[in-house]
Amino acid sequence: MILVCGGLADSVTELVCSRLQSCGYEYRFLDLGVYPSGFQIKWHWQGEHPAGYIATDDWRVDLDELSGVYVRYLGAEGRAPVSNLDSELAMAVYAECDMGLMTLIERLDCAVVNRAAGGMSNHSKPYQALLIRECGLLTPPTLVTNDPEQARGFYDEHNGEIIYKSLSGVRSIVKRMTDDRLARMPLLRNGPAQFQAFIPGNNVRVHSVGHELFATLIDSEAVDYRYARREGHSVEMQPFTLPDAVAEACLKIAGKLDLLFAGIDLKLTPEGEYYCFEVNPSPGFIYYEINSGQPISAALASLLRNGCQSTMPGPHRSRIS
Amino acid sequence: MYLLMGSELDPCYQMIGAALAARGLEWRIVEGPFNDPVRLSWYLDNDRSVSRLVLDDGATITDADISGVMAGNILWMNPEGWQPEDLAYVHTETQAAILGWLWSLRCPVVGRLAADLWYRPQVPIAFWQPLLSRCGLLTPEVLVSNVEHESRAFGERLKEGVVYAPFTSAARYLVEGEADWSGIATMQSYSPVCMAQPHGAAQAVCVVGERIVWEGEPPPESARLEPGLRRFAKGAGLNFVELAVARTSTGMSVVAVEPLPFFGRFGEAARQAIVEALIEVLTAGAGAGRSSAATYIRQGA
Repeated sequence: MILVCGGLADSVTELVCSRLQSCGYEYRFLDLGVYPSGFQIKWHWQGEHPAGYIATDDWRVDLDELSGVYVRYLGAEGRAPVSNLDSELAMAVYAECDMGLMTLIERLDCAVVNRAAGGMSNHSKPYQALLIRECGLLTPPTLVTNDPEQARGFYDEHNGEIIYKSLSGVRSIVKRMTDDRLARMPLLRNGPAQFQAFIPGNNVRVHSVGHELFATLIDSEAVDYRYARREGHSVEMQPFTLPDAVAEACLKIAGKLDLLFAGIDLKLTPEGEYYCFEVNPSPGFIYYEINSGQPISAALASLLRNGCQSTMPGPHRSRIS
Repeated sequence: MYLLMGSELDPCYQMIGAALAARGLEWRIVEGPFNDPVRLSWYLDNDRSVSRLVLDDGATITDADISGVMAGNILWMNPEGWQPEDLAYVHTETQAAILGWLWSLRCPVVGRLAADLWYRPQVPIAFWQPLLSRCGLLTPEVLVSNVEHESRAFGERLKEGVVYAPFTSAARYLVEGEADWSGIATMQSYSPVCMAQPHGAAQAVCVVGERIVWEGEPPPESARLEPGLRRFAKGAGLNFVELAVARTSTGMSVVAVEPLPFFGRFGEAARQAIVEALIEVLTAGAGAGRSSAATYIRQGA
């Protein structure tokens, strides 16, 4: 049995449910928008793992029946308001619910996509970069600083060919540094920023699903292709086969971060080198599945059904055993 | 140079500073590496990781000059004059930068948490249960449920009574009588409730490197507990961690884990022992392979 935890309005969660259904895999949905209302839950420790059940009026799942759990936590905005409580108490209730559920899900003895602990590395890109380096992928020359003069020196050293982006998990648009933006450098004294040498080439988005990889080559003129259309650029995507060493490094980093499902952002330079920018622990993969036609959600469904033993035939997959 | 990151008024840092000075070792207290006027520049690429810190008096040190760092009590920026949203953003960015930088250092660092703990240091004891169990350490029995009769049945089974043990607080509330059970049922309509086996008075204990420091007299079970406590600290990747142990009906159990120990919870004798152990950890890497001089970072800029 598979458990999907998320919000009804979340398109990624919706796609996962729909794929499980089309594959004929049995699953139960724990609606985090209303949880715990309508659900009965009981668990205790049995050795290192939780034992117990989750139920509604229509179904009951014992935790030891679960082969996989898919979870996408919701913010307060995705939840039904808690009746009869002021906003402060409601936030406390959400926090208590989340902490309890997270503790349970983290420790389940089945495939969990994804355990929150592994994903925490994504809140610090330079911390993640250190781990990425250890796995054999290239890291762009990067400067983290609150010193305007050092940032200016980095800009000059790279002939102005640098970008800046957030250090944390806060979503930001990657932007190129320009002469007019240099005027804002003194503001760095208020807090650090991250600058990177601009790496030319094509973006490659790799989704690792257990032991399987789905690589998508992205052809776009935009600095940040996710916002290409907004900036008047086009985006073309196609399935892509990674060299074995790069594929192996991608699996290694996903394994190191304890992520059964990850979105790995690479750039392939004209010289054939692969730089890695980030590993996303909660990838919104629909965009890539639709545009590249790769069966990412089907592989995910299989992983949730079979755990890490999942195998699926497919033309564009690099598989390392 | 030893860097103690936090407040000058921190009694732990004052004692560490004095102990380092007594050994003829240079040390500085820095509130935070990105707190103006302090400036930190950290360069990273495939092969190199080098950093350069300009202190408030203009003194400059590179990562190669840093022999050890205490990082558990970093002071974040002064919120004065900031809009809350901007402050939250800068704080998040600074936290991310410091986490990465601390892990880039090759010298001993005390209080360098892995990302999951860095961002969530206050996790409930239940979070540690699997590791504690693997280390042969007991924890109080718990049951989490929003089903009233399940919680009541758990309470009835525990002969010594039961406590309400919220995940998001260290507080524990003894459930006594029908009025309390009725309150538990009301809470269960909002959230599953964690009920736990009650325990006696808790005793604080620190694991610092390989050393165990008890607050007060060690309990009679200390010889049996200490190897497990060391294994736990090692397994959690913590070179300085505080735990609380207490007696339950099933034996001496761990009832709290604090990855950022609170020095003030310990008396004078324990404080001295903690500081000595911290000095051992900080100076263990003296002369060990650190990064070469920061050639990338422009000197004197």
